[in-house]
Amino acid sequence: MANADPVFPLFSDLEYHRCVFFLLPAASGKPPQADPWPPGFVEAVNGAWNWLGQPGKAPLRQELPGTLHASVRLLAGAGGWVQHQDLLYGVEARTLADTCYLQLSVAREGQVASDLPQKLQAASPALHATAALGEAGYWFVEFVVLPQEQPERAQQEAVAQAQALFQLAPEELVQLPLPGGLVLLHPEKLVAYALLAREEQGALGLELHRLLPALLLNLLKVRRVSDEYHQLKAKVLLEEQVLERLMERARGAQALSIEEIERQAVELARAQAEFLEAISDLEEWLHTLTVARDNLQRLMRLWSWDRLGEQAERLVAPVQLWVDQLTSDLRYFHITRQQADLHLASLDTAATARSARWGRKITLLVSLFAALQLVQVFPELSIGGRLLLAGVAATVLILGSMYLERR
Amino acid sequence: MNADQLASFLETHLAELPALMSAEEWQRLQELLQSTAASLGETMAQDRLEEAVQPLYEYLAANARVRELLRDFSQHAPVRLAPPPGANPGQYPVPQVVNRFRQLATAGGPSAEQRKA
Repeated sequence: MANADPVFPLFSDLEYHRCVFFLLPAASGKPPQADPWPPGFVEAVNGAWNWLGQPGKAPLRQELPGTLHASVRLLAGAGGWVQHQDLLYGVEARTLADTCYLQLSVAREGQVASDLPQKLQAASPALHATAALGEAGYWFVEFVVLPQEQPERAQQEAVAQAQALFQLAPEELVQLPLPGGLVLLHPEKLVAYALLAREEQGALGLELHRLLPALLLNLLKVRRVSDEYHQLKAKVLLEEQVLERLMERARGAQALSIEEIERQAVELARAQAEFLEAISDLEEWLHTLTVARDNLQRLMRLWSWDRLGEQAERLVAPVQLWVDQLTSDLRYFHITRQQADLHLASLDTAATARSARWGRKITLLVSLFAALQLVQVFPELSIGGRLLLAGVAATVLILGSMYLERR
Repeated sequence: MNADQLASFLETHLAELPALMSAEEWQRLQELLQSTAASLGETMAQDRLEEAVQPLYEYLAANARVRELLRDFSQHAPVRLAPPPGANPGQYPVPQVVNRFRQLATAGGPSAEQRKA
């Protein structure tokens, strides 16, 4: 018996592929710069190149490819396996949608012992890419289907052995069937385990090298948003509290002076602008999640995984839950914004009314002053006549004032 | 597994099989081997040959421990890894919508308050 570990006789040729994603400068909203690559990417690629046993710098492209909906290879050369003792190493770098990623691969041909997964992980180099968006991984393992054997039965056995080999709990996995194998996806760990029937290794393997990084990237984006959402929401809630306090104060503004009303209106408008800015961040995250969900569904349609019912639902439903959560939070925040709009309008009305009242008083004072001047125009009148004229003018002004007050 | 492979398997592992089977199973296998050998003719066509050994194969595969041995035996073909990621073409289409991630890009960098300052 050539089998080193009788626990996993079904498997052979274990491969571990690790993808480290970096946001492209255009996707991060940064202005164009001399270095086309994200911070830390070139260093990580060069480090991986040296880990492969190659001296100097990696043959990385000098400029970003202009294509939007294509994945472009960034390293020159064959990109094959390089042998180091009993292990095989590989390095690849590509663009993928709004990111570029470095892929580090370690594999061992032949039978699979129970400690091989740890051995392959330990062989993968440590990267200190703090500016990276994050990383995800996937495994390939080949399993044997005997010619007379029912493929379903062989797959069931392979799934059971994979759960034992990788120490996975069945309820944490999403099973996605392939023509000649299946993928076990662990959405929490961002790791996929592709179990491939020996005869299907070739073309199916290449297809999965295209599909799995894209699938994992979308799950990674969702993870980042959901991990950091509570911080962003706390910031928006803080702005909302400031706004609500100012709105509460604005309720008693009718009795205040014009100067005080104007001061409150300016404060409220400023707080509202900051609140709107915080909300716009949330809107952007909601859009990010919506795009990730749609991209996930697009990828699942490629292999008809969208028709899997419960399994497909387990992959998309958590993303949809986050989309619904952000939509709901935004709805409440927009209600606060509308209330602030109403309070601003109310302050404006109060200021206008107070201004009009002052305007009328000033008009009356000016008119009274004019009436007194009118008496002086007729110096020949007797004292009694001048008093009578002033009295008539004053009566007209008082009646006019009463009329204006009632308008 | 064809008739040749099954024959090779039996030649290689016949001595191990009694230890993997119960006495009744081993007795039944011997009977099956005799009846199969009796049914095989010198000029039997390949497809008939496969049909003749099929019950023998099924009997062996029904025993879990022998089944492992069968599977292990079938693995002696040359091993081959899946093509590495670099074997994919230099460019291939990706059905993904590209958007901007200012929020994610600034995570870990300066906060919104720091940017304002």
